[in-house]
Amino acid sequence: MRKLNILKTIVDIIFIITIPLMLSCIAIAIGVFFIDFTDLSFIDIELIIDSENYNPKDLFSNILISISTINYLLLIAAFYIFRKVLYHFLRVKIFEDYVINSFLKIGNLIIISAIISIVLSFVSNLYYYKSGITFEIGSNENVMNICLGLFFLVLSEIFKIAKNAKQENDLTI
Amino acid sequence: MAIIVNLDVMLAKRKMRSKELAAIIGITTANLSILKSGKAKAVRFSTLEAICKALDCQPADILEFVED
Repeated sequence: MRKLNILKTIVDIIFIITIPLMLSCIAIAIGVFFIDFTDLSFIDIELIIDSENYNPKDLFSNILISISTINYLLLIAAFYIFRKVLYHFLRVKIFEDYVINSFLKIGNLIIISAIISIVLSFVSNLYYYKSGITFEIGSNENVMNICLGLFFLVLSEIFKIAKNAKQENDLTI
Repeated sequence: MAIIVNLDVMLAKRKMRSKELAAIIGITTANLSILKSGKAKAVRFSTLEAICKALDCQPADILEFVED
């Protein structure tokens, strides 16, 4: 269980660090429509948006930024659920419906986030660079995320089987 | 369930209490209660053997198949 404790501590630290990031994501997702983030001199913060084609007055660009920040929130939500699952593991509540459902949620959230990322990159490529569909061979972050999401879905199925096996074992006299 | 556990009947015939049987065969009364109520998913051969030995009966005296 020491490994679990180490994992829980790391996840806790990352989650605590993520909280201000999460709040700023929410602020950006909403504020992008009202505030020009390329000029934040009035609050003494220098913010650089990594897109030379970003135009703060363009509604479509703002929508893309808003969706991508909301998409990031999905990953944080998955991370939060994972943290709660680890808490259950620490209390030796392993093969339970909550854990199974949580793995299912985590998997779905990661896959949805990866799909949104793929669609966003495709749309932004089409919109900014007027380029069509591009195929990348190699380790793509989105493909890795889809694999991770599917892994959690498989884990959920495995835990479901394990739960039934445990129940059967408990009811074997 | 298709398999009926007639442990109650055998206990009554032998005039033995559940608590006594549980103590003899070495299982908890809670588990014996699960077995008696038919909630058990499976019975180990070792448990069945111990029950048969304690009640001096055959497995067929305890377990009965009834079509649904």
